[in-house]
Amino acid sequence: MTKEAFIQNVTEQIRCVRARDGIARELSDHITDQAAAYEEAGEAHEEAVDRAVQEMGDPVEVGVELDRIHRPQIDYKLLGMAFLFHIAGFFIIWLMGDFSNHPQYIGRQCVVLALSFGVMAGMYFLDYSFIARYAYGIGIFVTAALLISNLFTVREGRVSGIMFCYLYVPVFAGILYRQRNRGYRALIWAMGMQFVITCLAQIFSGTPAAANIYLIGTALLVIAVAKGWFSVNRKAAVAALAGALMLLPLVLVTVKIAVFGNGYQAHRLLAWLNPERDAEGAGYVYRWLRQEWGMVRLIGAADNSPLLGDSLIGGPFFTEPFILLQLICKYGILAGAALVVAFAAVTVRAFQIAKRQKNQLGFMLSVASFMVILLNCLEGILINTGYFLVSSMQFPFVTYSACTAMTYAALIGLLLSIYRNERIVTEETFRRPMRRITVKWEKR
Amino acid sequence: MAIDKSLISGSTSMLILHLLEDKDMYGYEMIETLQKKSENVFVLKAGTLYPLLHSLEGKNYLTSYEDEVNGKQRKYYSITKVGRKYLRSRMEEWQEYQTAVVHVLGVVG
Repeated sequence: MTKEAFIQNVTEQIRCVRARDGIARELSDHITDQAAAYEEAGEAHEEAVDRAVQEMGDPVEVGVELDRIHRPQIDYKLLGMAFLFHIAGFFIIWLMGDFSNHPQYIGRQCVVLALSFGVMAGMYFLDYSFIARYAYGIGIFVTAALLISNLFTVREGRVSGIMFCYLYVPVFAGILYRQRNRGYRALIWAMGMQFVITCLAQIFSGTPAAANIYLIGTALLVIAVAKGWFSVNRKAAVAALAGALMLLPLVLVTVKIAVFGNGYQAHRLLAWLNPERDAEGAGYVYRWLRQEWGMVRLIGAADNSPLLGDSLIGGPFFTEPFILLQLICKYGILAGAALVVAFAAVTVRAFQIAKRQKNQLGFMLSVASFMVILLNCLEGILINTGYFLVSSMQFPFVTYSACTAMTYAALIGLLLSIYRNERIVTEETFRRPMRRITVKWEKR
Repeated sequence: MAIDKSLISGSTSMLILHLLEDKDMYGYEMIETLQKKSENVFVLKAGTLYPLLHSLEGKNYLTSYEDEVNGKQRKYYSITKVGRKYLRSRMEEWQEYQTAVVHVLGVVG
């Protein structure tokens, strides 16, 4: 049997096409080394290769064994959670949105649910390495989606495509991956890209989302440098980057307040720190939050809460960021705690997936997805409890917004895809192999 | 002396992990080193080695990377922390087993 025939026999047993190249190369290298050793010992070239191939063992047995190992795997935990929480979220929105009195919204919410599952399935089946290959193209696509959602969504208190901007985060992870091993220039380019996506997020989605994206981008950049992606002095670069990138916003905010005085954002910040300062203005929402928390019960509806009579649809408040509090007001603290546990479970699972990734792109993309989910859930909980500046952030699963639902679905689908390809996608998948083994694959 | 394969197969992963404790190696290098160290007792087939290496990598006992040596691109394997921990437990297990066998066979000293 020739070397090529042996490798073809092995790889034909492996159902996952993307795992074949790496295995073929490794086996080919082994046969070449073994044959060279026999040649050195005095055997003729052909004889040496034949013997080396024979000693590899039965190609079918080897292939079957490798197929068993390199099989796509499903993360049933995250998949189960995503399915269950999407369905539960649908019913929470139903209850909070008072759909019994607004039946026309049921169909709309069903479409949102179907879109979420569709996006999640699409991301799950896509080879996630495309994010690194087409990072800039996807970035342009996200910008177009943001532009369209900003142009065509009626705002009037209803959130438009604000959450879409979080899709810049995996795009940035892909850009970082593309800049590996390219030194200081690449690092500066990556910092420039971070600045660009933060600015775009600021333009399309506002300061809170831009601040989050800046924070996540900084974390990803520091992780990439710490992991030696840029081939620069790690310790010095990490310290300089972390310091500079974290100090920069503080300096900008201070300068803005000093130069422009009590601007809108500064006013909001001061009202949050001391709601009584502007009790009927910017501080009102924090005073209201305190009052609501004073009325809630462990189980059952709160006493005289204004939120009880409110609805997501056409209510007096724009309550979507406060959906957790609204749930607590209607059904008690335990119901809210259950929702928080659901958010925590998804966040922890995302972290576990990130932690186990050996593949560098898989790791960075899963960290990116994890951080978006973590930061938004954490901020959401803090906003609902009055411990954070109120903004129009959105929780996963319990959202009326199609853009938000699709953004989270894309991130969860991405995590599922990373887990699925964990044993298949190697570093070689992303770069052109130095030499390719020419074996004809039969489509299976 | 020919050794019964079943005696070796159960401990192959332990032997491989132990080899990698000293330095990172590529597949062919592992087979050669194992053969030399065992004075030709352990002659591992590549068909056995690679599935084993990939499986150990899947369990996070090993990690792999590509490196160029003498103009040749090689896939090196390196033992992880989890792998070292697993190796320790396998070695203890092996020690206990070996002592028990020696005691039963009465071949001490």
